[in-house]
Amino acid sequence: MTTDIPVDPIDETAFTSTPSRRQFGRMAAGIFGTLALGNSQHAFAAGDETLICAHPAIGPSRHPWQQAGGPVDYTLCFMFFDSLLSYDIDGRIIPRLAESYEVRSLERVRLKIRQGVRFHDGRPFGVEDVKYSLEQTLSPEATFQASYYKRWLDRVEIIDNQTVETVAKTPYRVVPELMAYSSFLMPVGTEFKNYTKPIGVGPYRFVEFVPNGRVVAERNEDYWGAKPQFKSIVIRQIPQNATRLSALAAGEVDFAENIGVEDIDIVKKSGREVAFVDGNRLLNIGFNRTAEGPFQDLRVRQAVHYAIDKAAIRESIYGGMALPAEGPYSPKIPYYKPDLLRYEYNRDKAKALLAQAGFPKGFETTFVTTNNRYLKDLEVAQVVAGMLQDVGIKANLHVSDFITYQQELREDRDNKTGKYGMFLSGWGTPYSDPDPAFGSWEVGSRWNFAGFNSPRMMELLAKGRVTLDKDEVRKIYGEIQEILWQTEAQCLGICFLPYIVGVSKKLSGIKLRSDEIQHWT
Amino acid sequence: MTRDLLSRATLVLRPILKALLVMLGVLVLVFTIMRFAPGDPISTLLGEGASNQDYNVARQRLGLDLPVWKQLFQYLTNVATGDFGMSIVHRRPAIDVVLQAFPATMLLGSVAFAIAVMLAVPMGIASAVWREETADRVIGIFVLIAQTVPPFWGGIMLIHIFSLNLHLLPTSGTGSWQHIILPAVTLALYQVATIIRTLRSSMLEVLKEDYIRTARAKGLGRWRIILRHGLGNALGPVITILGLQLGAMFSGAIVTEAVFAWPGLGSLGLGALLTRDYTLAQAVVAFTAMLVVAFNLLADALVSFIDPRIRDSALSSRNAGGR
Repeated sequence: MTTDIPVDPIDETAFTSTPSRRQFGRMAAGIFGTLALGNSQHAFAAGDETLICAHPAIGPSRHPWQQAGGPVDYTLCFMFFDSLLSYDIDGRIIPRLAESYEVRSLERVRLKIRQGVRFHDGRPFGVEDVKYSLEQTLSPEATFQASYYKRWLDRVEIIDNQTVETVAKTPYRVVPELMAYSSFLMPVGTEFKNYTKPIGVGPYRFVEFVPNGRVVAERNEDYWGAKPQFKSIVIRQIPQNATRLSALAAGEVDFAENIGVEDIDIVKKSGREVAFVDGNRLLNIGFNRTAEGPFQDLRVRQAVHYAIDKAAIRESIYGGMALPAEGPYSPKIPYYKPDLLRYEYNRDKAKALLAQAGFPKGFETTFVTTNNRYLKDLEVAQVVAGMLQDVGIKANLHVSDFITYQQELREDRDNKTGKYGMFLSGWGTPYSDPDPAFGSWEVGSRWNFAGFNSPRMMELLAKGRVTLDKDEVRKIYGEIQEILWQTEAQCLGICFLPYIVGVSKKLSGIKLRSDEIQHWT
Repeated sequence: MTRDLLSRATLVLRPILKALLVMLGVLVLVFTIMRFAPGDPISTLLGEGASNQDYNVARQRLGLDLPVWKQLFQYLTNVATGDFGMSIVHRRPAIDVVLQAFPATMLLGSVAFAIAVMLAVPMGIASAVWREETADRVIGIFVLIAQTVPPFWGGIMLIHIFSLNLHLLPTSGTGSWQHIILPAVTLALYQVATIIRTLRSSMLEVLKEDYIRTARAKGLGRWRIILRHGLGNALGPVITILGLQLGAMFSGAIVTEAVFAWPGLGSLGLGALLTRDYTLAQAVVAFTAMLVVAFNLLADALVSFIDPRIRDSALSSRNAGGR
């Protein structure tokens, strides 16, 4: 793993232009290197190279509020649209097009907008555009990320030509954290219909998009920040793992996402490097709580937890690259409670608990999983089923594609048919706050496949959204974590899924972000 | 005079009507099957922050809350006017999305077809002419391998050999003529086997015919007989098979496109199915059904054109009003 200090892109308008730009860039990089404000993942001066990246799937829409795909789509959004705020590599909020922000109350957040910036088509960027971009989330055409805004955003007020203020319809604490996650700055009047040419203020401008093929972007020479590193970037879609790996090994791409643990040697032998980071996505097991069955008993859920050798899974399936899970969300997210109960691997304890619960000989159940939706999901499910067999629980695997899996679990929950006892799932915390970490367990959430209902947790979640005092907030989320992990033992976190990529020498030493998004600058 | 005109008109119209019927059947089948398969496209669209209410609103806007037969009727009436609907996931007219992906498939299919024909015809002839001899046996082994190698494995092996080890060709994607070679060869492999086998058996039949013996008795050169009289008469079944194969190749070689990251109809269709993008999947299937039907019609027309026996008999039987 790399220890490079990431460097903040510096404002080069302070220096004279052209021939010595590269020199100044390097010098400034050295000077500012220690500040470690790192938006950029890589200490690297701007050049004339083309960066080529390979990802399994590129989403079909380029509109910032219609991104239904994976992290690469947000990588592209950042390239074209930039953002008001963003997270550095350590998860701290840093200013971008919003030079500063102020949380004035639970209803109002004021942002000071950077001046002198232009869109890719030359139009000046201003407060009207910020207002428009944010209010687009309220349109019925806006989906996915926009739904996080629809919950609270009422309107955006223009205070003066440098300042805007978001106004919430219901008090909401998590506004800056959410905005730091989204890239969406577009000109007033941008339509949803027939949106084919992204125009924003980002470091790269759009050149072409071939659906299922590639997105091509070129450097924005008038970028407000430091000169973007690459002359052009090509993001290619290569769905098959073997082909993507071959493309990297053959030197056709500089960055290949989702390299399997078993392919690491191949990458190294071909002269490329492997980089990884612990992602925020928790691979976990949920228990059906809507129908009669063994899993309604707390002791049974605890037994399952004790029966699983999580360290063995991390070692054998993830090559030691997965962060251990000792709570419902990642230690990198604020307000993490470090002293939750540790479920050490203990088969005897598991059997004892099962006996206490009235299942001395174990029982049979159906265990639902996806295949290749989450890294090594099926393999983990198979290993878990084997471990459960050791304590007497016969878990019959039921494998479905992701959409069918959702449908089956939701129907089972809504009709209380009790067909599926346990399921494997992955829940990621998209931004640096615990509020979205519990979607899998919130009443009314479509992703609460278990039908879990804890009135106390719901009360606390609601409270967490309207409390500003940090100590109070810490207590609230601490208790929520206890409920999920201990009191109810409903969240059985196995590990946090690693994000593994292969890179060429061009990106040697790259530092990856936990949200799996790249901020190429 | 009018009877002649009428019979010629029927000759053209009948197959077209049959084709339309097939298309209708295909559309209804695809529509119904997709609606009854588990899952829907909305989950893909909405994402993690959405509520049940968002879901219901989206469902309504897409018309998915109407009874299936009603949706089907609406869909068919739209298609009759050329409206294949909006792709749910791409947010653009489905037919536009299909047409954008088509050239890539067209290119891959054409090149694969050309490769298949250029390899298969000489091999088919050779294996018929030198039946049971070494050439035939070697070609027979090749045919066996070509038919049994799954395109998934074959494609990846080709990538390993020609891209990774020999550095001769790119691994995947589009861009230059070099990018086409490996995917086209992979796609052509199975077709080559089928063409060789069909051509071989057809040639063997023809070479036994009397007119071949007559030609030899007349003293015509061996190869002239084989190529002009033999091959010419053996082509009929081969062209029919080619019509079927071509349809299959153009309808999106899903596996080949997936292995080589080729952005054609195969990738598009697969993506549409996985995300339950009903309108797009329907448009892809409708379009490819149309291609398959068109190629088969073309093949049939070609066969009856080049083979005077079929052409003349078809016309004369109609003229005599003998149906």
